[in-house]
Amino acid sequence: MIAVKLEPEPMALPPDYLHAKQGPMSWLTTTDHKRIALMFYGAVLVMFLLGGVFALLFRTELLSPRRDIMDATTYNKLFTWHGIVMVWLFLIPSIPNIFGNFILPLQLGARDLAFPRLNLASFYVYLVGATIVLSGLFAGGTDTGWTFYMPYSENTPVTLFPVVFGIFVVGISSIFTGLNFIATVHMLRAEGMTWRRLPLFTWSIYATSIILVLATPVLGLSLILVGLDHVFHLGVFDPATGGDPVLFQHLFWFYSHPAVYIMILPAMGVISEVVPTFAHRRPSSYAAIALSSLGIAFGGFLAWGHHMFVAGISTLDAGVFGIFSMFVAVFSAIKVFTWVATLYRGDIVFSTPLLYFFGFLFLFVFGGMTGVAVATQSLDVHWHDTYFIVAHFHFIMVGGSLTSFLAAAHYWFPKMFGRLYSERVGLLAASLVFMGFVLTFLPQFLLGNAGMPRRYYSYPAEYQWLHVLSTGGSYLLGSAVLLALGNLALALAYGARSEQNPWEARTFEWLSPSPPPEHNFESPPVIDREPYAFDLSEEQIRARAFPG
Amino acid sequence: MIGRAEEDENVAKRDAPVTTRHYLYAYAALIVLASASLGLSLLPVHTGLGVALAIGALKAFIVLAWFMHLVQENFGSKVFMFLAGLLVFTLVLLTALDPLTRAPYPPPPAENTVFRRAAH
Amino acid sequence: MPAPSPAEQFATLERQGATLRFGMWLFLTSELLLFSGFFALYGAYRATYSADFQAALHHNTLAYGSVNTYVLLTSSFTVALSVSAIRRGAGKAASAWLGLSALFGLAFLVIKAAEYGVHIHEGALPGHWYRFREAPTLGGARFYTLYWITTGAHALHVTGGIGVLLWLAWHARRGRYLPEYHPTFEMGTLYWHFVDVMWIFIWPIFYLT
Repeated sequence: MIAVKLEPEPMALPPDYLHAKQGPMSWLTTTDHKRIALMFYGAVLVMFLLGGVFALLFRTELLSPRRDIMDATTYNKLFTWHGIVMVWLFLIPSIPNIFGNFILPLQLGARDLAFPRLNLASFYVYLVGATIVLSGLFAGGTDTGWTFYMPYSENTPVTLFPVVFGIFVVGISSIFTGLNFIATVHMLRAEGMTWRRLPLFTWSIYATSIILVLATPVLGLSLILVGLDHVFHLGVFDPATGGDPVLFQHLFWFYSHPAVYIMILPAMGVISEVVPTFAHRRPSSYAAIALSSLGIAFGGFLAWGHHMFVAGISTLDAGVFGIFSMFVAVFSAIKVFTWVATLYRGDIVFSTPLLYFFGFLFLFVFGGMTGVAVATQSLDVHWHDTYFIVAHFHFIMVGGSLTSFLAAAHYWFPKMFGRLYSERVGLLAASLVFMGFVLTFLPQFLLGNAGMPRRYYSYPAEYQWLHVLSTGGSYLLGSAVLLALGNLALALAYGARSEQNPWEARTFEWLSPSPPPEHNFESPPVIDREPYAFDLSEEQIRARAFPG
Repeated sequence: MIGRAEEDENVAKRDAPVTTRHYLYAYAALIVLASASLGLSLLPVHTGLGVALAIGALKAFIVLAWFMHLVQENFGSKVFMFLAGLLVFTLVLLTALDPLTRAPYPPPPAENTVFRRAAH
Repeated sequence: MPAPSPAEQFATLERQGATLRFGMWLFLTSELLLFSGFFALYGAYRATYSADFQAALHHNTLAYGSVNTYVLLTSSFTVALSVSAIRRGAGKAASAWLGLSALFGLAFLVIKAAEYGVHIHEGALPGHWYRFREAPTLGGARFYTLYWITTGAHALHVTGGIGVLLWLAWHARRGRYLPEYHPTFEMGTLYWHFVDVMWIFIWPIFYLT
């Protein structure tokens, strides 16, 4: 054991969580939610870069209509790998496991999560699952697309079982984390922290956790059944023995549609913190944002069938699902209007996280509105399985979640590391991310509408100029993301020391020093106010939180 | 430490705990219900899946409420269990609704001869 | 043995116990949704092959399944009695009740194995191995595929549950659970009851009507 416990000197502040204990073992065996969050940060960023490299490789192949650098099978594998890595190993764990883990107990005024050892277990289970998935992929596996549709998944000659089993294992990690967050929000709120005083990020993580706990097991089951079908030909979904492949899609999307909200709800939580902080104004309706998070979580469970309009499901069922899907859009719209109304007459400070919000606003509204369009059966028949759908969900997933992920990485950077990043480079990177993104995916809307189907490595020559634009955009997007992350990495070593609350935010995580000490607060805070009290001064909020 | 959380609504109500007598009544009820369900299925009159599932739901409720002490647990546990039950119901209903209302299936393979995988 | 002190993130021991039980309930909701996938498949296939399913059902091994129902219900009862014993501070009695429950669990698995033997003999096997002549081929194959994967998953849970019961019995015997604080013990028993609840629904859909 290399860990050495440093005794704090009398009258000095306790050391922060980064320095409270030393040595690699103190990290690997830690149960501190902040350190576990950082370990997730590292692992998830590796997955993100890996998924990005896969995307850039097949975008390069698409520069010309012919075969250039890879054959069809390699192309199929690469877009599958991109999807699997990005969805399950990056987007699902990204904001909840990094920022949720770090920030949620601080926002609640708690000393840690309810089950710290379960939290550490969640990290290691994630690592094991990710290792199984990646080794399955690199051992020549899986060209099915990230959706594993039957009956192709039963018959594909490549390896499949390690990949689906690895995703099952990663799912266990998700369940652990979601369970931990729900128990923490219910049981570990500081004195005076009523439900109406929960910060909005905590509300959205709470709603996300409900989905994680209740939807993930269905995914696990459906993937295990696919794996068994593939290996043992159980024929659960095999039409040759009277099975129904559409039922696989039912089970798969029962998870994977709510999974979209696992990715976007935390993003909305980040936005709901960034906007009031940099507008210095309380959200124009706290209840609207908080309750719409729950509305999205529950509504999202009833919308899964809209992925199957052209799969042969009954018209009645499809109609029911189409209507439920549009309900979800109502809740999302409530949030968008509330954020924009919060900016109105605010004392706006233009900063990197806020710039990401502006990008988010455009991309999310655009992606969301096309979502309502494809929730209409008659339109979906034209657009389904074309680049239109690809562009639509990348607008939500990348445009929504990735921009918010970067916003969160900048917004909480001083909190996590006690340093400030370069604002100018941050603003430049945020603008470039936005431009790169639009350049990548706007042409794909046009391609899809013109009839370009997804998942083909060659195409008629008249589509080429749009593909070239899209590939160029993807290079720009990749470089911009590297610039943003590089800026943060440099700030880690060379950034100026930050004050405790550099953005003058009012939520409770800023009541503790930045970076926080090992036990989060010097003494447990008392909460006697709503989380966005911008009428109170910094001294006032501290005096009220720590009386005496 | 123990016995100090009077004001705590998240801590289970332990003032009226489930006792051994409750367990006995619950067990008797479960045996009666299981036998009723079995008896109904053996009758020549066809009572259908709905009745059997309703009896099953009642049995599950008895186990949850008394064997598992849900009656004295906090509000959160009850809400989440209810929510999970509701989602199971929704999943089964909306999934089964699809084949129920679908246009007729294409003709199935001929009886017991063309199981494609049988040759493997 | 003195009362333990709560972990640093909890203000009181009651709250720690309540949180542990709440966490277990959340885990059980997750488990319930896992089984819901089987039920959804059953519902959809029964909607597709209604008559075939009923024919296959009436050829299923009703006696084995029904005996197992009573076995599991009784084991739940004895597990509940072990909680009563722990609350009285009678660790040895609790341990004995749990041992008895684990025996019931084992009996369930033995009966289940004998039943699987009958199915294998009849050719009522999943997927393309299906050779059962007495039920219609297409719907029958669907029925028995679902039967095998559902009861198989349930039997795995029973096996895990027996392990949990034995673990609890061992610790109860050594007096590890206090009459006023025993959340771990209750969590283990909750898991066993949950396994029973799942069988309560598996029994009617695969054996009764």
